[in-house]
Amino acid sequence: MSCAATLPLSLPADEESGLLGQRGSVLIAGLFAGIILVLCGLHVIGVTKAILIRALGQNMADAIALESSVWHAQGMNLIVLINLMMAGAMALLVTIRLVQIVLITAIALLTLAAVIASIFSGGQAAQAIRPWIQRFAQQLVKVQRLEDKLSPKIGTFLVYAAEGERLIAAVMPYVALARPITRTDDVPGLVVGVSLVPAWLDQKFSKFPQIPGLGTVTIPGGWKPETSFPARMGTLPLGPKGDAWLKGFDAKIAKGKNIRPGLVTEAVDLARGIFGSLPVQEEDFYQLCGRAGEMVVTFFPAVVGMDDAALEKLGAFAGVVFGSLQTMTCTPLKQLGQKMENEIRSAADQKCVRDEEQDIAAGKDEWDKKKREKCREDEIKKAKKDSGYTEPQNFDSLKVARLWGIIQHPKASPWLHVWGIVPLHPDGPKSRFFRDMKNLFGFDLDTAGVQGATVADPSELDPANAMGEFRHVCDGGPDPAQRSCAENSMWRPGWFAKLVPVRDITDEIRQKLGDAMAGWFSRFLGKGIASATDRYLQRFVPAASKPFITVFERHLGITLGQRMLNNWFNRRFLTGIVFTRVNNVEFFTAPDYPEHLH
Amino acid sequence: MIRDERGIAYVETLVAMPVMFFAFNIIFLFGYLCAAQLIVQRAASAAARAAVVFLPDDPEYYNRPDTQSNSGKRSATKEACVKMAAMRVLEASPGFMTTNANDVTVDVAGDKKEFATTTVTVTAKYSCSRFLGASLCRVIGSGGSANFVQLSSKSALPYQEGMVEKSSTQPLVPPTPPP
Repeated sequence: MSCAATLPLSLPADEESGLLGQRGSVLIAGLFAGIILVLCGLHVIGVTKAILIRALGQNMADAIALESSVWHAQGMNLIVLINLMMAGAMALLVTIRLVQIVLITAIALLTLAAVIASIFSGGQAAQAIRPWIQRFAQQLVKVQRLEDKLSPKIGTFLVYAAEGERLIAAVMPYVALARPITRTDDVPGLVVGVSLVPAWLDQKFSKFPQIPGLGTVTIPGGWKPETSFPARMGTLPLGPKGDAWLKGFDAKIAKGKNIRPGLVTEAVDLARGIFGSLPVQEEDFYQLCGRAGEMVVTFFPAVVGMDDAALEKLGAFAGVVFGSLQTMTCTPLKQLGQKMENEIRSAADQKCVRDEEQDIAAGKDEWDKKKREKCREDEIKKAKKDSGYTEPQNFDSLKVARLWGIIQHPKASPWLHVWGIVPLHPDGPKSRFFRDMKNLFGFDLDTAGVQGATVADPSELDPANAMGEFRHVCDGGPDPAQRSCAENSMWRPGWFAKLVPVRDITDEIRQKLGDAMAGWFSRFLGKGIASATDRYLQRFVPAASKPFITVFERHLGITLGQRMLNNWFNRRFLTGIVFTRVNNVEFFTAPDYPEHLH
Repeated sequence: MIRDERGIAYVETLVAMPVMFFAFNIIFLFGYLCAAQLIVQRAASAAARAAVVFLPDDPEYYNRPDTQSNSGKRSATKEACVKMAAMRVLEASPGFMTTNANDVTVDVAGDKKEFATTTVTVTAKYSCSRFLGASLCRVIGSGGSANFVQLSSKSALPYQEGMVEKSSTQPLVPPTPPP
């Protein structure tokens, strides 16, 4: 039925007015039909838009969480690679050192043989051995020169690499935060009110600050308590000058206020630690030495095709041996900087003495103390400039990264979670049609039961939440050297990110904090008992005192402390305190999730 | 009298009204079905996302201590989570039948390997009880006496996987460097 067929082209004059007039009747029907059609279209558009918003919101939350986790994982992998590069550089020095040890051993054995031979053969055999000793000695000198040549370069590389690790650890969480924010630009104007704040808050997991120390508390017995959790590497590198200034300032404050030195440094570390970092801490030098030795020992067997399991066993054994013998295998590097410094100072002294003697010989006055000092300083400065020498490196600070002690186990760790939350309209995919009908015509279709299955609680339509996680690939228990997955995680580039279900991880945090506190306080306990026992040992068996304390603090005390503290005291009391604090700052927002997920 | 044209519009309207009403109803129902299909598509997308997020997740989070493995009840729990993701979308949308367990089916297909395509098919019953929808459903729907249309949609995403460490009982041992 078309509109043209129904409408008469002209109407009688008497019908143009009055109730019997038919003009516009079809218009009314058409209007009615039009409204229905428009509402129908609005319905489809409304559903489409709601779904679109929902889908885009979900995608955005996923992108924020996943990308942020990916950047964290990338940061961890970068640090792993730098660790390996540092171990590789160290392996060169270890190799040189090994060659030196072999040559020295050979010379010693040949000398011994020569002595024994001279006793029995009257010197002829000794004469035959002598050229060999000379050859080995010449080779030893060559190796020594090579070490002198390589060591400064490797040392400089190691220092910069260690600083690089600190930089990555400190900066990467901010990259991980900043980059996903740009994801919200993907949907301009469509998702209104996307909250970026949760993305910031959620990354608090990677920004948990250090716990401050006990400051100036004096403990009877002279031992000092552990003042913080294992130091994280997340503090921004200040550089050698900055560190030296900080150390000097610390000592000055400690002297002036009569407090324990190190407090200012800790405060600065705490302030820097609040800004967070990747979950890595400093590993001791022995680990670098051990891993370097592992590389050296496994290199040739790997080339000739030894199978992986045997290589792993060999490497683990070598790692332990080299790590334990670091004084023999890796220590020369530590002394390098000071050695060069001493040589330059000695040369400068000699030069100044010569200059003064020349002046005196030329009839000039003897130098005063000030002039001698100036000459010395100038010569040192000149020598350093000419040789391209830099300040002696503090090789004690050459620390590779290890996984933060609190984590100790990548699986199920709340510290590795990154969240992305995008709050959406609580109506979810509900049709705009219902809202329009209510707003335009006052028809509340919800209450009229037209909607069908209704959602009783708006919270059931949770916003688009997503949780990313970065973790290390671990395929089982410890390696042949009983090094755990956590310990190996910073030596194998296997960090990856994935989306995981949004879950309430309150209990996990509580448990991890409990473990951390147990570790902390167990050391207190160990040191306390060791200190008390030490007083009696020093009185009766002084020689046994130091080894006893070392063993007790590090092993027995820790075990004992954990047994006593872990199950009850920490979990129920200490973690309660810390966790309340965490809640107060709205550490995270976990939605209620179905029971079967807990 | 017979040539009197008065009331002809009423007659025409009376004749045309059922036809128009029927036509509008079809359009109306078609609009609803379009929206319903979009919602099923959305449910499939949500279920596919849940599949690639839940299924590779650590079994230990699913507190059924029958096994450490990813099979058995733990696996069933995960699959229930996938279905729940679809149900959340459907329950929040008018017209879908969700009261019976068989009203909505969610099938997950694909190798559970890294980057393998995981395809999720969601099939849901959409009620045609509005206006004259029920009778129309018999024509375009499943036929018989059913007053619903069975809508189905698929969605595919790459499976995300990572190896999972199996033991989790290592105690905290602070680093113990040699003296």
